[in-house]
Amino acid sequence: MFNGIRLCRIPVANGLSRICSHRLASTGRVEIGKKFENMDQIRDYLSEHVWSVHEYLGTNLGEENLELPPVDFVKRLLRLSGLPLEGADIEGIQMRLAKQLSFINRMHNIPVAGKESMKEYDARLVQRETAQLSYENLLEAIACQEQDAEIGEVSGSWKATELAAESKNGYFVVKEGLLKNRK
Amino acid sequence: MLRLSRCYSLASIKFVQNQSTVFRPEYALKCGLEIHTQLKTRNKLFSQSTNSATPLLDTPNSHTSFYDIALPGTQPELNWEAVLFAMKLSLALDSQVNTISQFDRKHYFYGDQPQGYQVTQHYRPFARGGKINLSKELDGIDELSKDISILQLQIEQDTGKSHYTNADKDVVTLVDLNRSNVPLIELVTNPDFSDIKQVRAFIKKYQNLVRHLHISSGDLETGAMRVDVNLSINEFARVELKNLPNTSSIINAIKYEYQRQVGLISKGETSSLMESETRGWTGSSTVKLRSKETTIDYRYMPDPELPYINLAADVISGVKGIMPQLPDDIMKMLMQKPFELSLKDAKILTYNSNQNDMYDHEALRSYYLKTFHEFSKLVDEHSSAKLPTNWIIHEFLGDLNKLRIPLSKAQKILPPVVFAEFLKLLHAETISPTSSKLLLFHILETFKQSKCQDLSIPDFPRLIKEFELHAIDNVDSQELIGLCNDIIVEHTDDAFVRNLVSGKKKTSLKFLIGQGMRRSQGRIKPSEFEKQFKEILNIQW
Repeated sequence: MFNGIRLCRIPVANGLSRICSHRLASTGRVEIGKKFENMDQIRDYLSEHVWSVHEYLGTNLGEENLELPPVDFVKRLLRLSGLPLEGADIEGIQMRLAKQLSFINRMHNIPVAGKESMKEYDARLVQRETAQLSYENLLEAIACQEQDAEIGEVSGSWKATELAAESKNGYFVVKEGLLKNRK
Repeated sequence: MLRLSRCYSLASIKFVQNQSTVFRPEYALKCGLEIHTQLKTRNKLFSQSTNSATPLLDTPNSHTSFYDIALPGTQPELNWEAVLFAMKLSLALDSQVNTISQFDRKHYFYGDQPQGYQVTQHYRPFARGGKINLSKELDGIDELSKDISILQLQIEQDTGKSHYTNADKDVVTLVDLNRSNVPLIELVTNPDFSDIKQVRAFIKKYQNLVRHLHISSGDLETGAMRVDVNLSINEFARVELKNLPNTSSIINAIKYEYQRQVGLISKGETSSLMESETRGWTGSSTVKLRSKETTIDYRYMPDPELPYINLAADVISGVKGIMPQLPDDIMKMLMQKPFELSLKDAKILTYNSNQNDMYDHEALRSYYLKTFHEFSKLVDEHSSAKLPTNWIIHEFLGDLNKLRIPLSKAQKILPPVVFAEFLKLLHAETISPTSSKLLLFHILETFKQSKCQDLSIPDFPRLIKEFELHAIDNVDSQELIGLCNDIIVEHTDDAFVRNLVSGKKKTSLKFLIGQGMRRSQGRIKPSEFEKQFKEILNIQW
C-alpha cells in the first residue's frame, strides 16, 4: 500500500521544500516527481483524488454503528496528551476516535502483497528495505555531512524564538501550568 | 540497627553526608546504573546543527535547526558519526552489536521536548551485553575482581533544557533548545553492584573510558554524563533514584536510601517497598517522585520516518581496526616491566581528569614512553626505570604547572631525545638531583620569558659549566669537615646530638645532610655528608 506514495519538490521560499528533496534523495527508493512551477500546479496535484476515505471507512458504516471508546479511556488519553479535561467535548472526541479506530482497523485488514515475508522493522513510510552500510560507506557518510543554513542548521543563522508568541532573553517561554500540576 | 532505624524514623533529623554507612550482609544491597552519555559529535543526532562543546557559554536557542525545534514538516536524518561513536563504545565494552537496530518514538509531553516524543531505541537497541571489569588492584574494590555486566546500549536524542524562574510572581519556564536532539548513549547495567566502592569505581572507569575513546567529555557537572541508580534491598521492589548531578550525590543518595529502606525493613514497615517507585535526591534526602500507579505510558512505536540501521559485518571489523589500546591494558603495561610505575603514576598517564589545561594524559604518556625509549638506548640499564618516571611525572610536570607552560610548547625545546640526554647526566651523576632541578627550572623559565618563542635546544654542558652545577667528585676533605662542623654548631644542641648518636632519633642525620646539600647547592653528594657527619659525631650505627 505504500508503493503509490509520490513525493514532490515544492519550490516555495521558506526552506522546508528543500527538506523534502534533501531527505528523499537520501532514502533512495521513493520517487521524486517533476518540479512544480507554480502554486496552481500544486493545488491541482493535491485536489486530484487518488483514493477516497470512504473506500476505507466504508460508506455503509453509519455513525450509529461505530463502537465508541469508553469515557474513561478518552479522559486517560487527554491526561496523557497534557490536554485539559475541564470543558473537553468528550462525546465529540469519542466519535472522532471511533472513526479513526475504524479507519485503522480497516487499514489493517487490507491485503498486502508479500506480507508473510515482511519483517516488522521494514514497516516504514520511507523505503522498505534499508541497504546495508559498509565501513567505507559509514566513513563517507560522516565526511559528507554538511550544515544547511536554509533549514536553520548553521548556528545563529536565524532566530528560533521569533516564531514564538512569547519569548524572553532568547528563551522560549512555557507557562508553568503546562509542566506542573496538570490535571 | 537501632542507630540505623532511628536515623531514618525521625524525619526531622537530617542525614549526615559524611557519616560512615554500615552495609550489613543481612540487608543485601543490589544496585544497577542507567547512564546517559552525551556524544561529542560535531553535529546533532538527526540534524546537522552544531553540537556545542561549550553549552554553558552559548546564546540560548542559537544551535537550533528547524528540526530541533520541531517545526511541522521537518524530518530527521541520522548523523552517522553517532553510530561510529556507539560502535566504539560497544566494542570497548565487549558488547554484542546488533547489525540491525532501529529507532522508536517514546511519547511524553514536556516543555523542553518540542516533538512530543523522544527518538530512542526501544525495540532493537544498538548493542546488548558486555561488561566492565573492576579489580582490587586497579580500582580499589574489596573483591579481587568483579564484572559489572551491561544489559544494553541505545542511541537516543537529548531534550532541551528548562530553567524555572519566578518572573514578576508569575512562574514561567524558560526553555533553551540548544541541547534538543544532541546525541546520547543510554547504557543500562544489570543490578550487579553490591556496595558503594563498586559504584564509585564503575562511574570513574566508565567516565574515563568515554573520554579515552574521544566520544564524550564525560563531565557529570555539565550534564554530559547523567547517572540514575536502581536500588533494592533483600529482593524488595526496586527504587529508581534520579537527579544525581555528581559522584558525591550518587554515593550519598545510595547511602541514604539504603539506610531508609533498612530502617523500614527492620521495623516491619515494608508495605511501601512492595512496589517500585521513582525518587529524587534533594541534596540531603531522597523524596518520592512517582510510584507505579503514576508510571507514564510512553506509547512506544517504531519511528516511521527513520530507516533502520543496517550495518555490514565489515563495520565492526573496520572500527575494531581503529580502536585505541584500552585503559586497563595501558595501566597493566605501565605497571609491569620495564616501566614498573606505581598505580598512582600509571593513572596520571592513563586517566583523563579534564582538570589540567597544561597537558592531556595521552600527550604526556606518549612523551613519557618516547623519553623512556630514548633513555633506555643511552643507559641500557633496567635499574634506571624510575628516573624518567620521577623526572617527567613529578619534576617536569610540576615546573610546567608552576610556570604555566603547556607540554605541547615545552616539548619543542625538550623533545624526548633531549630530555633523555638530560636524564643521562643525572644517571651518570654529572649533576646532582638538586642541581638538575635548578637547571630544568632555569631552562623552562628562560623559555617562558621568551614567550615560548626561543626554540633553541638547551646546551646542557654549557649551562652546567656556566652555573657551576657539576657535581664535585673530589671534595676537599678539610673544606667538607669545616662545612659539617659549622652545620653542627648552628643547628644542634646536646640533646640533639645525644639522641642522634644513641640511635634514638636516626632521622636527625637526614636533617643534617639536608643542611649540607643546601649549603653546597647540591653539588656534594649526600653520601659524602653522611660519611663525614658520622665520623665527626662518632655515630656507630
